[in-house]
Amino acid sequence: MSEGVQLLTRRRLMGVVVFGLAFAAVAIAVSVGVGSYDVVWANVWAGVEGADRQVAIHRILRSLLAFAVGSSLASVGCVFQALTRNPLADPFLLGVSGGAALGATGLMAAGISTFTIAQWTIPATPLGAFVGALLALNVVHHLSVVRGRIQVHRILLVGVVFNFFASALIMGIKALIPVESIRTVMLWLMGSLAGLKPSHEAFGELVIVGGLVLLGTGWMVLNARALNVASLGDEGARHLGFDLNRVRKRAFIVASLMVGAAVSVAGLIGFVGLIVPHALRQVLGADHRTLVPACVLLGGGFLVFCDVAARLLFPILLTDPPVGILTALVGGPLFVWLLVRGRVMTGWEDGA
Amino acid sequence: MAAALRMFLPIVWLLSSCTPTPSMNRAVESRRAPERIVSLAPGLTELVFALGAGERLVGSTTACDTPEAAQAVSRVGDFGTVGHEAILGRTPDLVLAVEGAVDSRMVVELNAMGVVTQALPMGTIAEIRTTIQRIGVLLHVSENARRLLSSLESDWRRLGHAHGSKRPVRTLLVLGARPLHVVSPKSFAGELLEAAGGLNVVSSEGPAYPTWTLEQVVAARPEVILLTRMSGATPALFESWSSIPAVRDGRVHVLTQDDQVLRPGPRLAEGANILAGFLHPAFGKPGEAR
Repeated sequence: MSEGVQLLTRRRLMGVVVFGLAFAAVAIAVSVGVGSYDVVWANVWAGVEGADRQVAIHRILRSLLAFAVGSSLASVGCVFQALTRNPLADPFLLGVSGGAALGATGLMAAGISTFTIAQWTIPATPLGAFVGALLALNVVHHLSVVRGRIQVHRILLVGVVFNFFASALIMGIKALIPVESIRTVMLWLMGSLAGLKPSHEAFGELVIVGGLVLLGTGWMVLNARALNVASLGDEGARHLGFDLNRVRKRAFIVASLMVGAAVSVAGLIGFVGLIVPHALRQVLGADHRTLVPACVLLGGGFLVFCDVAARLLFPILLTDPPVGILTALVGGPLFVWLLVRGRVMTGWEDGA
Repeated sequence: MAAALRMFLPIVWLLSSCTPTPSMNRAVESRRAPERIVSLAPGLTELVFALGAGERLVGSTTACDTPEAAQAVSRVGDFGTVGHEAILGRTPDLVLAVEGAVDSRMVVELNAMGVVTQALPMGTIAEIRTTIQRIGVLLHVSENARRLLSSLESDWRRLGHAHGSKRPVRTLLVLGARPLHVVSPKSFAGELLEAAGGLNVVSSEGPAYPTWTLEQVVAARPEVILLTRMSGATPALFESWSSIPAVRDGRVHVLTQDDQVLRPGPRLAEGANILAGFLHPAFGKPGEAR
């Protein structure tokens, strides 16, 4: 990993950011331009109220939400891999998937579909998922602290055990929820950006998820050096006179808010948080000063492209496949190709 | 994978329209009428009651809620997940299941144990007709079956007279909102929709219950959108898209009674009538719009 740190120049960073922005822009442009409805753009530009404009707005909101979710999953995966020094770490590591799923299905079982606060009606499933994810993180985090210090191996073990425990509970809850909700639960467990929602609701989700992603990734970029030190492990950090505990605690809080938000709107989209950081580490090296911005921009773009692929499959399948399937189908081979090609070190060779 | 399949079983029930497997349904018309019947599907429970043999039911599923008397029958499990032992515990002399909704190995096994078990097709209206006849023979109530069929036949003819000549109404029938899960003409509910004078905007190719996105709805231009109660959706879901004719004309309705439409069974004509009420408000009693 030292190689990447030494090689960082302003030019290199600019190169990554410019490429990432271009990739993201192309992804969103393609996503807004492609779909089964033939949008007449002249009508959209002219501001004619009608089908073209309504579909265009729907596509823009969906694309931006996909981008925010992808950014959040990829950057959190990257940070978790650094903090735990475990290449298998993904955004759902800390019991997030189990907690979110429990929160969502629990409310379904209780038959609660919306909450009303003053004049706002808030859909219950995303809120339940968000709260569930945060509670799970809190529990896992709490159980992983020994004498005031976070024990990384404990986090990994407690997180995994918690997720198994939660999925057992979900199987139990499944028997209690109405048969018709099972499809929603299944889709949510696979991860999907489909699901019809009124424009104002989609916009609200975008503001919340997008806002948290901006704040969270901002923190990550500012703390990229600390993340570099963290990936050396406790021993290495101590030699540099660095207290990892504080970074870990803050990073876990930031990451949990980001993943909680992403999971609450899109369910458990797998793979993005695992392969995007690994693939980029292959290409860029392990310096988080470039890796984090790259994960944010390319992770978001990657999920947008997968969503486009899912939509393009509609005329063939005559049904809309969940994007969670596409991320694995597209991302798996791509990642293996990068790994086998093995031009650059993974950053994990030395001791992880 | 197995767990996922089990979760989908109730949906598989809806989707079931496979061909009968003769090996599972050996000739079983016994000389003696069965006295202790277990039904493993709500539609079959309704059929047994409709054929006047309800008092012979000794086991049913938690989903068997109609008619009211069915709720007093012992439960042998959830619809989709029933165990051998719960069934055997009722010492039945006939077990009725919907083909595709139960594990075919269980059917074979129960038969091998000497418990006559029949997996009957219920996926389409034609299959329901055949199944009514078949249950009539099995329960020794062929005369009742004949009467039920002929009353269904006349209900059906009445529907045809009422709506056959009208312009079909472009309709989208929605089963779930997240994802947008819709009904194709291949399904039982799709058949009812056509009988009610609807033109299903969903393609007859592809899956019987595909997932759609908003774009398909806009492109399909449905004149009426019907949301099943089980979808949990309300017309507010669509209000952002006034370019859809159904939304523009205020014709997005919730089917507050959706059993008749979604549950293959003896109330299929009732189901078609409920749909017709929404498609042709002038006809019969209008549906419960909201």
